[in-house]
Amino acid sequence: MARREIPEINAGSMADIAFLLLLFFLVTTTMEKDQAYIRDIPEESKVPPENQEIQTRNVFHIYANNKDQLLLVDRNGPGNSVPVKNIENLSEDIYKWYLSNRKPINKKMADMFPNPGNNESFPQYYGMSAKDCEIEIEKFEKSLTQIKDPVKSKTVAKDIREYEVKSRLFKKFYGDDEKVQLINVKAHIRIEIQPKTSYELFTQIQSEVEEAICKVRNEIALNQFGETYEKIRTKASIENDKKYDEDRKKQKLLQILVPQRVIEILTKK
Amino acid sequence: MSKFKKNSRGGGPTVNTASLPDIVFMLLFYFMVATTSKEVDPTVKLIQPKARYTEDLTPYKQRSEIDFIYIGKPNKSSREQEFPEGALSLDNVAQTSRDPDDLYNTEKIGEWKTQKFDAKKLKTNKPIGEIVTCIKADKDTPINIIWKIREKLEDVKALKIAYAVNQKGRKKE
Repeated sequence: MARREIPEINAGSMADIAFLLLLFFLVTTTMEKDQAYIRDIPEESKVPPENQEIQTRNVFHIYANNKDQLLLVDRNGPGNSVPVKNIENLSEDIYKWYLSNRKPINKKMADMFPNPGNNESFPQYYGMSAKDCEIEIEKFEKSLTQIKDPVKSKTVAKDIREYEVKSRLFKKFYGDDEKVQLINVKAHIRIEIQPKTSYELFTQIQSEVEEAICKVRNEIALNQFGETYEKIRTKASIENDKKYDEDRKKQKLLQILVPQRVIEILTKK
Repeated sequence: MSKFKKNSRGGGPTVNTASLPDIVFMLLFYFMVATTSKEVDPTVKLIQPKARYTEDLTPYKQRSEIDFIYIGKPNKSSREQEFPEGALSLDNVAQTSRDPDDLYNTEKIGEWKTQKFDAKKLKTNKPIGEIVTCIKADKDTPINIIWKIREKLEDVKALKIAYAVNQKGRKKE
């Protein structure tokens, strides 16, 4: 019996179908990725704030008014504010604010910031080791048994969790006893704006803040791990991959060493 | 007496197009991978400010843990007078509400956010505080309007906010 020939399928229109699909995707998608600054809105606290004075050295206070003018409030000591002429230089100032009092990590830093610890208008650093963290946790746990107020005990429990993370990371990367340099717990960047400040200026300030923090983290990451923070962050953002767990730990450590504490407030006066 | 044989059939040789679909498919896959889907077109016009050192929102979009709010001038220029500070466009309120004016109302944001969250509940098991609200605003928007939104979001405990910008090239070192 003669073999029947299989009829050939005309594939000429296949290209047309593929083109249709291609055009559909071209039309419905965008090339540019959404870029943004992600921030947390502070939760309204039920516990009345303890009236504690915050030294001006611990606050990097940026003030933008209705006319989009910038001022660094009390930067050179109380009552001594500095106007900002060029916003591009703001990140430089924040970078200095972060690192001036830190123990220098390399020679470049040592040249750039002489006599660390003695600069009066910048926040102080303190040392803490994994062991110190464990002592703190013990203290907190003791106090937790005596607190009856549920709101307060919740905040203490949160503190304990934070210290646990710290002690685990310090132990991993620095061992038990090495004192890790940490910035003053109250040190923060404060962005104060008025109602008519433009969104553009606001994002520019955010950009400068982000740039400074990124640079400080890069500096420390390069010294510690031999690669930049940005690289670590990109790897850490790949989810569900065990290969990058190490990078996620590194990222967490850098976020603890150089905390991004930004407070945004609107003043109506 | 030509030296070259003439094609007996007159026309030129046919080009084999069998691999054309493969090439097109390759292009197709490239675009599928390299692009992200557009969200709803906003009903306002806006030019985003440019800034550096931003965070990419693509992972949040893929997990659909993000909602968008647009602030800018209304598309209909006849309505521009009504919103001197900039009009507001929530990505899907227009579909759920019969009143077109709701589009531009800050009061509705809390309601809108909880509605969006309820719709997402089945997909994600994250609390509302982890769902990002991204604000895409025109560069001349007064910050006042953004703070009103923040307050409304705070009321419903949606505590993650993102300020959208266009990425600008790095400053030269």
